[in-house]
Amino acid sequence: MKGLKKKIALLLAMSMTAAMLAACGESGEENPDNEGGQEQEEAIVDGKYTEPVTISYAVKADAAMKFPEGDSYDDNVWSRYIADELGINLEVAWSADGATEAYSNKITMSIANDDLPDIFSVYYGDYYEAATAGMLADMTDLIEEYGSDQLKEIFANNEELVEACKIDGKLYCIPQFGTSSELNAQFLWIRQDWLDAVGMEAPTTWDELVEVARAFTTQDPDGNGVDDTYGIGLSGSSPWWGGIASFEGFAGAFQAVGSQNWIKNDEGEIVYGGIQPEMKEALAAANAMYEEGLLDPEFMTKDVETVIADIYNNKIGMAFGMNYAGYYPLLTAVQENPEAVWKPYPFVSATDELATCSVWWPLDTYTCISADCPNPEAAVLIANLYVATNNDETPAEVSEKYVYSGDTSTYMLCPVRMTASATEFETYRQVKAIEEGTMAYEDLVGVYKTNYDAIQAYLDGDTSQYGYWSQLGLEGAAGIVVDQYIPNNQVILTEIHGGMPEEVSGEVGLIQAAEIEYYAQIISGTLDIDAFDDWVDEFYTLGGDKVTEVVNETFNQ
Amino acid sequence: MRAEKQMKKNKKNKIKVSVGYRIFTVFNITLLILLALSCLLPFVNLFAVSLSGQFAVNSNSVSFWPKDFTLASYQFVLESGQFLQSFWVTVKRVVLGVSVNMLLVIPTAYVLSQPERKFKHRKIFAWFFVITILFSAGLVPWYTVVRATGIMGSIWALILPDAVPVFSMLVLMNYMRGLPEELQDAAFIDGAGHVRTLVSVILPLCLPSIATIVLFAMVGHWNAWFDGMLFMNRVEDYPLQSYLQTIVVNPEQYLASMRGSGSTAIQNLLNFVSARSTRAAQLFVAILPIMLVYPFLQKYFATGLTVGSVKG
Repeated sequence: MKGLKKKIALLLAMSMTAAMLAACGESGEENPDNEGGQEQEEAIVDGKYTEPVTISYAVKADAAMKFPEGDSYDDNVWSRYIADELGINLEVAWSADGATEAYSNKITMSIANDDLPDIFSVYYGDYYEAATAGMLADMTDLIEEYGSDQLKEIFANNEELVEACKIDGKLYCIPQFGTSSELNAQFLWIRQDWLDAVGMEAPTTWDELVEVARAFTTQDPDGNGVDDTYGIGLSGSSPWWGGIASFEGFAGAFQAVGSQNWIKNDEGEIVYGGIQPEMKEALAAANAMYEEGLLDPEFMTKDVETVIADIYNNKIGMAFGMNYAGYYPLLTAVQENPEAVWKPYPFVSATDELATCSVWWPLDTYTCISADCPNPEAAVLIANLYVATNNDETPAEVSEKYVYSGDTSTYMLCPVRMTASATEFETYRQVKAIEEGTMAYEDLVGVYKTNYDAIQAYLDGDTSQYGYWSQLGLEGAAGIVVDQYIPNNQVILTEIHGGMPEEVSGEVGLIQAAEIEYYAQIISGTLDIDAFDDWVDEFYTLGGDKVTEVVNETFNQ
Repeated sequence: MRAEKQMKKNKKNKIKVSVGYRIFTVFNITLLILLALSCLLPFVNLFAVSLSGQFAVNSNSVSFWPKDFTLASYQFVLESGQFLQSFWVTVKRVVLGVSVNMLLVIPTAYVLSQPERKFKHRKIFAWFFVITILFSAGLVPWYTVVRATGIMGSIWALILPDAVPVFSMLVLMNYMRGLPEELQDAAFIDGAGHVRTLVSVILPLCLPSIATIVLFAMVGHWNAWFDGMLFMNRVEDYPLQSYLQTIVVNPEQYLASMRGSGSTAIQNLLNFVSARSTRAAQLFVAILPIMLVYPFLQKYFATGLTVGSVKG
């Protein structure tokens, strides 16, 4: 029996090696072959194929997507639009859910089997792997050759991001530019009606913030006669999500770099923000608030959804969160409770310096084109069409069809897409210009007009438009970025340009989980503040050295 | 005989229940009730959530009784094309999958239950199966094989990769080995072949064991979600549990998956978050069918499993 076991094991090992060799052989033969594009050149007239071509793509499906009757991922408003305008017949290679692992698993498998659709979108790790394996088409020249002026302008405006996407000097993707990095900054959201109830002004320093938290805790700001309120909302289990109840504002008050971001230290070396001494001060400050009862005693175990429930139940009137907190989750709070008015304020500082806010890299999705695709330039044409259709000046009747129809985000049906510019900042500038009389309402176009009207609707009492007002209005979050964060250089961009290198993803996962646990225990006093040094040790035990080294190799050239 | 009966009766009456035993019983019952409640209450909560209004759900104020009672969620489920379609895929999968499983498991178990002298290399064949329990090649080869066989995206991709559940096969094999060999010999003497023996003699005796492994197979197919996400080429073809996976992700996860699209993703997130009570309704409806099967098969469950393993 034993002999048999050995033989079988040997056989298995041999067959596995053979399979691996075969797989290597296959991918070795693949050479990026972009010559096909040249032959097609005459076939494109005015940015449209004279003979229709078929392009397959992978759908990153969204469970919230709703189609009108008869439409599907295979046949929808964008696939028809692309066929009519560009002569490109889109074909769904496969679709998989985007919010779970389904899509990324399927992509990983497709890369491993060298079975990629023509167009697909990936995160940095898969992008890097596929590009270095020679499985992606080189887009550097194609964008130059086929890109519209509008597209090239977007690339020019995002030069820093484009450079970070390049591998060995070549661009193997069409980056899915998102919102500007500064817009990922966070804010201090406060319930204005509570401030009024306790007769206080919005805090401008950390001490004032603690004062307000104290008043919110003890003075029954919601006036229900029950001592059921807390000073500030914080999620112990996801302090870095950022949407709301984040720890970033605590960190920023002490100029610490939070949100699991990396910074350059004075020696020019990239280091992890979460182990720097500033973070210790931030944790000590949070611990002091906890000891005083200004934090929810159960914050440690609360995930963001539970903290949001507390917000809805009028238990929390202050929290750090993103610019879009006014849409989710605060919109519901405002709609269900007419007195509630949540307003964003800039971070406050506990030191002589201004508060900082660290933000992640604004680009994380890369639209890739398979090296086997005979018409890689088709993706550039689709990008041209997308930016021509979905930009700041798109008239409402067009955007209602191709961007949002009703409550469905139809723009997501386009396989190649990107956000043209930081519409939020420009909206704020125009709203301000109208307020100051340097611009006329009649001059508003496209999305700016829609946004302006929504802000006015809120001011006229339509609470369903609260999100627009809190994000884009005169006192909104975008204005804080434009007038304070950007001119004062308060936003600190992470040094991780793209994504964590795949080879250290295991270590990074462990480190991030350990960090959250240590922080929650330090804030709640379960661990002494000096346990911060244990956490720093733990960081290195879990492979922090290796990660730091790899990060510096990759991003510090 | 009568005296014996009388004695038994007396003995029964005379057993005095000690205090210790009583305390133990009380503790035992309390503990079991608590255990049962801890399993049951989440379902009650889920049910209450599915019948409650949106704001009550989002503000976490629903416990075991619906608040702002509404049937809207169930109306949504019944009208939701995707839910019904996925439900249908799962029903197909369970029916086909369990049939294929049984069709392969029963003959395999029968052959492997034959003694060594009737089936010379029995052990080699047995190990051939057992090895698949001990070793698995991993995700990529699994995917590669399914892709190479050309069943990717069809219902067979969910059925064929695990067509022979080896553990169930072993359970049944051991049960068969526990049957008296003479039964088979008698059948042979009466002129029956292997097929006839299996169908007319062995199978009727194996019913408890077969009920058990049918239940295993049904629950396994009903609950499987990972292969559906991996092998289906269309989200519309996801089986029920894969589809449920896509709707139970939390808002953080959901938003993180859309980070690249910036604040334009918010509208989708709102649609998504406001669906918490409908998600509860869908989960609840998905549990029902398998819950209904359990009571009918459970009586076989204990005997089917233990008899096989003890005697084997």
